[in-house]
Amino acid sequence: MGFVLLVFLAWLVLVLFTTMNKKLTFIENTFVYLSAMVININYTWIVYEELNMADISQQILNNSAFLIHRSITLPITLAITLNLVRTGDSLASKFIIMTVSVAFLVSAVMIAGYFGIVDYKEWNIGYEIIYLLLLHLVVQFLLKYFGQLKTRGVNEA
Amino acid sequence: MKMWKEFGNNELYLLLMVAAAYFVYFLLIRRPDRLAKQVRVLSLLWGIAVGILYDFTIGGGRTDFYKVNDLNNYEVTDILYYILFAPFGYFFFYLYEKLNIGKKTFIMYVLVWAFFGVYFQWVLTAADIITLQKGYKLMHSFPIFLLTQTLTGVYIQVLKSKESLTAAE
Repeated sequence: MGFVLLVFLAWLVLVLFTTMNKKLTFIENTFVYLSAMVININYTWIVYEELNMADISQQILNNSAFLIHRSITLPITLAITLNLVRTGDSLASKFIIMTVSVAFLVSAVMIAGYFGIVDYKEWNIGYEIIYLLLLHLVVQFLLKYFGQLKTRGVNEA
Repeated sequence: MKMWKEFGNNELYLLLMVAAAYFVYFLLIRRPDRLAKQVRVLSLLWGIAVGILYDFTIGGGRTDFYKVNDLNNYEVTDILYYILFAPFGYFFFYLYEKLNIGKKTFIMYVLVWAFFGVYFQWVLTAADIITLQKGYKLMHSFPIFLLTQTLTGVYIQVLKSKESLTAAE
């Protein structure tokens, strides 16, 4: 059941991303996806596997669900969020969009926890919320830097 | 997370390979036909992301088909291995544009890169930088490279339809 739900969430964010009106360019969306994925893969490996703060199920479907969430759902959600953040006209609205995004990802992690896909040992949902908030801010910062590369290029030309 | 088990030949070869790859990369980005800054950064990130995605999906975790350097754990020297992938991302993007790859040359370009990928992996295994295990053979990497290189080529083609890869800087 956990596998089914997490695959559903992956499908949902993929369809939402494909059909939404994007404010980021094609290359910016790719950048957000790749940077969020690289950070998240390293984070899950270091915190879960190296520091042994959580167990990932070794059952094949559950393990696949974890990989799908780690490499597809989370980075695509970040991409959707940062597109929406660009449409937000006030700091409060941008913050609300990020909060909803974190809440969505936390609910996915809670589903994973409920169905034994991930078992927290010395980690908890509070740490996860902090990590997800930081991840949103870091990727947002990286995107800002990435966007400036094009502007700078035009000015120099 | 460990620094490294011992600093041996594999770490030394890795350092030399990284130095050589970045030397070529820095020569290429001095050329007037270099890629635009955003495309350049994306191609480097693409290379790193592909390496990390495979390593932490089939190279580690449940399947654990190969180990990088001396341990199955994340060693600090493994980071050298991942940054080695970055310039190859640039080379793939750069040559795609430079050689003007299109419908007629796409299959050949991808095949050459897939064979090169397998050959390079053989070099990495010969240098003890990666060790195949649990029944994984070198030839199993061929379909993986084929798929990755094809997707990268398709991505570049879509990107080219939206913006110039070698925009003036």
